Parts: sequence; C-alpha cells; structure tokens
Amino acid sequence: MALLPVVGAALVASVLVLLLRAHRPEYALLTAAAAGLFLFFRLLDDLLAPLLELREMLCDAGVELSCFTVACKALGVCYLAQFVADLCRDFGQTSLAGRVELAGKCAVLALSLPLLRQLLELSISFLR
Amino acid sequence: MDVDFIFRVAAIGIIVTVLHQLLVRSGREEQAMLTTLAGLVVVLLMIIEQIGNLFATVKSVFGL
Repeated sequence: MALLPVVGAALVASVLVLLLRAHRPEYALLTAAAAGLFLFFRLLDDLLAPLLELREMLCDAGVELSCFTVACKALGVCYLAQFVADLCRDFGQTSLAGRVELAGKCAVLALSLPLLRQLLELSISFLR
Repeated sequence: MDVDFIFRVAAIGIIVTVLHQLLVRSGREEQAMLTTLAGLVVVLLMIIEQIGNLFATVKSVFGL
C-alpha cells in the first residue's frame, strides 16, 4: 500500500515543523519544504507506472498519441505549479503563489495550442 | 531521496536553535546570529539540490 509511508512521513514532518516553529520559524518552513519534496518524489515514483500502462493501452487501441503526450505534459506542469504555489502559501506569500499559478496556466496554454490548431482544422474540414 | 532527508533538515534546525540559545545566554549575540545564518545556508543548499533533482525527475516522467 503506497499510502502508509506517505501518511507517516507527513504526520512526522508536521510535528517537527510545529516543534521548530516556536524557536526558529525559518527552519520550520524549510522542514515543511523538505517534507513536501519527499512526498512529491514518492508521488512521482508511484505515478510513472500507471502513466506508462495508459500509454500502452492507447497504443494498442491505435489512438493517436499526440493528445496523450500533451495531456501528460500539462499534468506535469500543473503538478509542479501547484506544488510551488502551495509552498509559497506555506511561507505566507499568497501573492507569489498566485503568480506561480498564473505562470502554470500560461505554460499549459502554450502546450495546448497545437492541439487547438488540430481541432480547428478538423472542424473546418468537416464544414467544407 | 528517502525519509531521513526530512529528519536531517529538522535535526539541523534543532541543533542551530540550541546553539543559538547557548551563544545568546553566554553573551555572544553576533556569533549566535552567524551560527543561525550558517545553518540556514547549509539547509538551503540541501533543499536546492533536491529541487534540482525534482525538476529533472518531473522532466523525465512527463517528457517535458
């Protein structure tokens, strides 16, 4: 069960953060950042297998892979932007978190432009 | 990247807190400030190295 270590690490980390917050708030926040990094790594390890399996299924079904790769990239960008935005909020910088999320949205938009173009051309070919 | 990364960072935090109190009580405020700063630099370097690994992993997993 991949959940148990994550739950354990998160609980222990939050206790440590509370312990450090009384004396040294900066170390508390750095411990929170370290815990976030550790949990993010575990998430990525657990996420790789299903993604590859999904890709195999799509390949067998003969579906064109370009939209799947764009979806994967968008997923990665969103995970990263969300992680950094939450970290900024932990540090008390809600405005910075908003900027990071905006950057994530722009990146996803840039990623999805070719797909939109394909959709447009497809619809135009139908109309003709 | 394993669990004791968190404990390492927390341990440095606790040690620096104790050292800070020790130095402040013995009347050396500036050394205490420098010790805290040194600890902060060490922890930040560790975290930035792990963030580098994180970005590399995300790129490889999602093919960015």
